[in-house]
Amino acid sequence: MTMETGTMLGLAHSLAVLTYIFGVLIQTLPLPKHEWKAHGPDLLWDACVSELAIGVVSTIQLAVNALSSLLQSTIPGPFNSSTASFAVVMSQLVMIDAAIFLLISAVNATVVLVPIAEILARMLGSISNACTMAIVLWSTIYIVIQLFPAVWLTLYELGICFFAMPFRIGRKLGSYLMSGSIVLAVGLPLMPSLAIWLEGYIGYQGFLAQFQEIMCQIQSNPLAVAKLIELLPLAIGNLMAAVVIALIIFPLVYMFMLSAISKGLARLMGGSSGPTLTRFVLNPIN
Amino acid sequence: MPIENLIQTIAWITTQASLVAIGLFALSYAIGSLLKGAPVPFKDIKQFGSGLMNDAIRAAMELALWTSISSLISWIAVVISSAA
Repeated sequence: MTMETGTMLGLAHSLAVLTYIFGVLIQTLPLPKHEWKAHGPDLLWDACVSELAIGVVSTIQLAVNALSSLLQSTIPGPFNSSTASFAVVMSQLVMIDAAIFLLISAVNATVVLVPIAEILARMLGSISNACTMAIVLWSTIYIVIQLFPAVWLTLYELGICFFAMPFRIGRKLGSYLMSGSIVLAVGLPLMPSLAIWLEGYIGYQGFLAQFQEIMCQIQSNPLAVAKLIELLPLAIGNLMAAVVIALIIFPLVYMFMLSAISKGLARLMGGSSGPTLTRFVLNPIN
Repeated sequence: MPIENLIQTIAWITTQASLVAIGLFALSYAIGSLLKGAPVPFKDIKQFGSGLMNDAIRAAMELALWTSISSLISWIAVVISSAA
């Protein structure tokens, strides 16, 4: 446990004690306001939950690491590490982008086939765009994946601090931070491996081989492009579908799924239920 | 360190709040017993006094039990950690 971790947990503990004392204080008020006093036990319960969350930080850390490695090993892909899967994803995308660029350059270099080069540029422009977009998307994901193992525990502790605040000021944010950090720490490293698995399931390798064969034939003999160009739309269509589904749509859907799981876990922790500060003041429980 | 100062400030507020809570407990109990023992024929007032006394006693017990509750939670955390 680092010094920062200890300090954050100390802050969360002191906030939990303060919440508990406020809960007791509200209960001792000599006022005929049962709706106010009803918040006393809620605050006591929040303080107890926060204390429990502080106590099990190390367990949560162990559980997250164990679950993450367990899921990594059960993914039916060729790679167990997210770095290897990420390298494969990036190499595929860069290879497609480079192949398109080289093809258009090669055809364009022959003066006779310049109109065909223009047609090819129009045909392949969309897939090149998609690949570039996917490269940017996956680079961002990779940075987050690299950054997250060092950050998620701090986010979790910050969540406990918010959760332990008196009068449920930061309860919702706290539970979202706690659940989000746990879910992302487990789910995010799995994304590249799952994308590779999905690519294989769709049949990406076959489409890529077909596309590469046509590219090689055109590059070796640019004059045969007129014959081979009729094969290109189907090959491009299949390849583009596989790339777009596995490497662009899948990460977005996966992130949406993680956010939904995170939201559900936050609700389970009590983040979306219970009164807020405004409800304490403006609309007390009857 | 600003966070350590913040922790000290929160600890100071907690001490003051617990002192206030102890004072309020005494006040609530006194008001409760006063209302309960008042020679007036109003049942509601007497019930309110009784409720104040109950709340005060419960809150004082919770205040006194904090160390025990904290220790219990730590023990539960240790049990969960050792089971994991």
